[in-house]
Amino acid sequence: MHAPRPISVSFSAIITCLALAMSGGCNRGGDDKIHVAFVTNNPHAFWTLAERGCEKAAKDFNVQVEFRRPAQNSPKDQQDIVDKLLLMGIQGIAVSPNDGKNQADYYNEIAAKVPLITQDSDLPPGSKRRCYLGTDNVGAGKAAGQMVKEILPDGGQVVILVGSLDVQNAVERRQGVLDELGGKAGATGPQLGKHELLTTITDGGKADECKRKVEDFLVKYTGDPQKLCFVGLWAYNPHMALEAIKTAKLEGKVKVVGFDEDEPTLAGIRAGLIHGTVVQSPFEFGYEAIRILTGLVKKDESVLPPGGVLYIPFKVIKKDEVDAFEKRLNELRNPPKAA
Amino acid sequence: MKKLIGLLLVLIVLYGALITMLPPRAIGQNNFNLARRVGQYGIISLGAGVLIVSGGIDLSIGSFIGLSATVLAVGIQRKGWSPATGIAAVLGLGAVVGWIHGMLVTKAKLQPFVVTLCGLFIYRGLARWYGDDSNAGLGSEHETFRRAFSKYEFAGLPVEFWYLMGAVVVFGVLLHRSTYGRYLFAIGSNELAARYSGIRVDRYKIFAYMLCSLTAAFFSIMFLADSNSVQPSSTGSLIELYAIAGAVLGGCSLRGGEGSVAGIVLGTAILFVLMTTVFVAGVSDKLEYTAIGLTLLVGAMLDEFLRRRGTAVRKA
Amino acid sequence: MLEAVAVGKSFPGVQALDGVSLHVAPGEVVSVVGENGAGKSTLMKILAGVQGPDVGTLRLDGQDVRFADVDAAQQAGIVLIHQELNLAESLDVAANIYLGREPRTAGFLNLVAARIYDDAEVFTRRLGLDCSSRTRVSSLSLGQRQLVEIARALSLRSRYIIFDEPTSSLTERETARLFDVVRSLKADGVGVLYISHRLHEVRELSDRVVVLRDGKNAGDLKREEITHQALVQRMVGRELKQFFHRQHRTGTDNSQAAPLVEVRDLRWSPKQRDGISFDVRAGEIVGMAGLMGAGRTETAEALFGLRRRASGTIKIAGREIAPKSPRDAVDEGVALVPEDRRAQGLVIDFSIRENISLPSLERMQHLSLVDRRAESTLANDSCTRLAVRTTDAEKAVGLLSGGNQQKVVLAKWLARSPKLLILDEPTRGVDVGAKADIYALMDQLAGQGTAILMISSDLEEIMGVSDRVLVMHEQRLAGELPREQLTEQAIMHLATGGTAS
Repeated sequence: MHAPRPISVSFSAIITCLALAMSGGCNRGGDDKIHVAFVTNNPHAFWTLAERGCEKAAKDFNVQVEFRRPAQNSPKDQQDIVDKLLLMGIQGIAVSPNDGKNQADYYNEIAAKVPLITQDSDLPPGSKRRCYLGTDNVGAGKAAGQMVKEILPDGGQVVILVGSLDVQNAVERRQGVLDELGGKAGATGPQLGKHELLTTITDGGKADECKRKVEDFLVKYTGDPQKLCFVGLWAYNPHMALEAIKTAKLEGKVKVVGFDEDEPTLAGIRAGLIHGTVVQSPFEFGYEAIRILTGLVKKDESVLPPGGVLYIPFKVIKKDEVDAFEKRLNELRNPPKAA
Repeated sequence: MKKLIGLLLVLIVLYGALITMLPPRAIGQNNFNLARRVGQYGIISLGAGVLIVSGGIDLSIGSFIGLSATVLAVGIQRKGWSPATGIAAVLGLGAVVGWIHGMLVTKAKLQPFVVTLCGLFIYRGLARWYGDDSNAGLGSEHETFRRAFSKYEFAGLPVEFWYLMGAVVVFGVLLHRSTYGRYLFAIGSNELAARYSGIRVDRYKIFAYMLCSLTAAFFSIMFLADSNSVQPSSTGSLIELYAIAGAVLGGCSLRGGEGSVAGIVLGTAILFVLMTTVFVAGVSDKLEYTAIGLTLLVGAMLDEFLRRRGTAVRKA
Repeated sequence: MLEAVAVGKSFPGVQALDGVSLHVAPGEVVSVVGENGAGKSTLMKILAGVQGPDVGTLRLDGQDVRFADVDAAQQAGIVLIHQELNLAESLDVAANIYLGREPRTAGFLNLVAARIYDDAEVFTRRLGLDCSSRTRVSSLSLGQRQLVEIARALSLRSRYIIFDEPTSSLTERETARLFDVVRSLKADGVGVLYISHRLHEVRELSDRVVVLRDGKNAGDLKREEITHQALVQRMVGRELKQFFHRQHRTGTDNSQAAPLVEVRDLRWSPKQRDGISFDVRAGEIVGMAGLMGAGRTETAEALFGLRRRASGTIKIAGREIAPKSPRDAVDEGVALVPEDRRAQGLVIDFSIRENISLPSLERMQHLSLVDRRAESTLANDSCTRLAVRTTDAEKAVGLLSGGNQQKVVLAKWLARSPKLLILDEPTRGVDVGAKADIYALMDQLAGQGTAILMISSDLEEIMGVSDRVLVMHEQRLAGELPREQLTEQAIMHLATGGTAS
């Protein structure tokens, strides 16, 4: 009777206005504060602490910070955001490139317009970014490998879990694990000293898929579960592996080490089911990035780290440190509202 | 009926292939894992299937699951709701969201595709906003809740499987025995004829959208109980495709008016047995989706081929 | 000469054609008639290359031919114009005429040459299609669309054109123009095969008639032998004693009784100057005549709650009803057998049983579960009562012939014992045998006190069945004719804007 009709233009316009109203409008006051931006590579919870660091730095250095997360892990989305920021008159950008190798040209052009630094993930050598700050991912991978050696001192089998190997930090962390176990740089496996790398499982960044695949792996696994260790490179990997191990009723037998500080991971460490996790300091990512950008906008080159690289130290958290770490984490996440 | 036997044969062949690749002692565990997945995803496939039978479609299932799981986890963890409150809240949310979908489709005459595609974006954004882009979970508390919706076992099978069995009975009666089901098939086959027969078409379509969103809300409850961790930005993403694939694989026609509860459950089972088979067979990660897609495509072609050969051509 | 010799074709469970022969010469118009299911369409599809015959041969100018597909038949100069037109509605006239054969320029760029518009107009003008070849097909009337199809056939330099029920959805004027076109095709030496249910068209147009029955030849009639009686007898295989039943009416005798249905000042659009007012008595069949677009279907839709009313009241048995949906109308005892059986009347994928019970399902439920037994009983009883020709009620309704389908639509509503039964073109696409059954049933219902409003474009039917006739013209009631004043001239006079005398 009635054909479905397209959404009318006016209706869309009204909704857009509503959406803008909900966002509280743009808080670009008339002041002439330095205006810089911090752009992530995905919307993962990891970045929440970086945002807190940016907020603290904004207060400390009296600058205005735009903190933006692309809705997906997509270079295109990220570049759209950067383009829009430039239109807003942003004076400096700290970015974590989604695909450094292929975005190098794009970011070199940006670097010619405003000071650009990279964080978390770097551009290839020779790029025009002013500096890089982030975790030494190879080093962090080695720390994870060290933990594997601790729980399986007599050797055993290792499975690496990661969302995707497109991302530089994932590749470096994995290499770090391999280097540490194999005892030399550039190790490839499968035999790594006393340990054997069985496989690397990717899940496209989907936690539920990670869990399903680990379950299926355990069903198929015929070796000794006491000699098996999962290394979860992305934040959800370690605790999804733990859930799958629980399904197979092998908790406490199969070992897990991981990265980052997802709450279930910390809970697993506290319960003794995950051996430990390598945590980065995203709060410092945010804080340091804004500190350096502020300096660069003010033409103060002295803020640049020597060699153009600033490694923000990572930490290894095991059962005895977990309570203190979580307390500190909560303080950072929920800063006192005063001031 | 022929269709169901065909699906059952495919399932048996795939499952047979899977267990030959597994060590014998692992088969029990494998069945347990599959029962849980089919239980969880079968329920949303049933919801999506009922909607597809009525001629509708919901592309926002995954995003809505993300929102619903976020509301549940954040509510319990950060706002101190009791699990019961949380469950009531998300089921209520599901009913409201489905009602809105149905109203927009029937009263505002928008295309279901458009409405739910918009929903896909809206709910994902709301999930990220409500969850403040940080993970949420239950920690090690609320064991009762987690047992009730995931960890409890009965007769060696996970509770999700028994929920599905319950849903099969409810949906089976609803779709195949009740007047409501008959009306849905009529609406899906020929909405105009249904309207001309004095059926309250709008009311029943709205109800179908509500059922679909309610099953999604229920899925999110099981999801949280199972994985105990919700990422507002990614939880549930693309799950609508599993739900729709399960339903369509099980014989629901996207043109509406066709489908069965048994088919939908078999379709879901085939999908998840296939995914496990592909993984266990050691197909490279890179080609995994390709292998799944190709298998489904071959199945669809075979089905169409058999259907053409089998149906009597209408007398001209 | 195009010939089919002893052609046979069977589908699973059905012998559609069994040794049928037929020939048509250039410049000859041959009509093919038969009840639905007699095999007419199958035979035409074989001639046009849509399907191949199982046995038998096709001959073109004495040579055996075999068409791999429609394209091959078109190359040979044979085109079938389907009942449901096959046009791309969002494209313009010229694009449709040259669809798939666009003359291309600029090499690989494949630009469609602008000259198709001029070329197309050569054909459209010849057919009297008075619109630009740049008009979008979606804005054309059905009759105009048909002319576009014919133009396409002409542009293919077709020597034989097959029309499958071309007039079923045309207005009188469009039909007349189509006849002119057929005659001019004939004059140009094109051979025409013409399928129709409308016997007066056949009589008017054909040089020869081929009658099919149950997939076999049932006789050829030369031009001078074509009479209604002779055609029907061959189609049905028996003599129909009585075609229009008028035995049981009660509404005509006591014409002083208060009417069962009173419609006053009914309008569905504020633009209508005059509202529509009429009565229907219990036991009376009121015919509603008028041209396409005169507002007859709209009236039915307004009464059935499908169309919002701008003004007016409807009373049934003295009580006012205000249906806002078909549902409301059904609850008030109104039933509609709609114009388009497949789109509005039936759920084609459903069985006979499921279709018949659809409006009555809530009377056959316990705790909202369907009572299958009651449903089957209803369906079987209905099939028997209406003489639906089927093995059982579980058969898909789509497999029935048009006449039997229409009986199922009637059965749907009989189960609800409506007070007012509205029939919109009740016998369109229905074969002769089933027509008689439907008329007998209407008569019987009227005898039981149902008020019946029958909309029809078939004047024979209107005059044969109605006790009284309302004539619509341009969204208003142009006049009312009592049975004794019913003539074709009187109806057409009112339907074309003449005033009541």
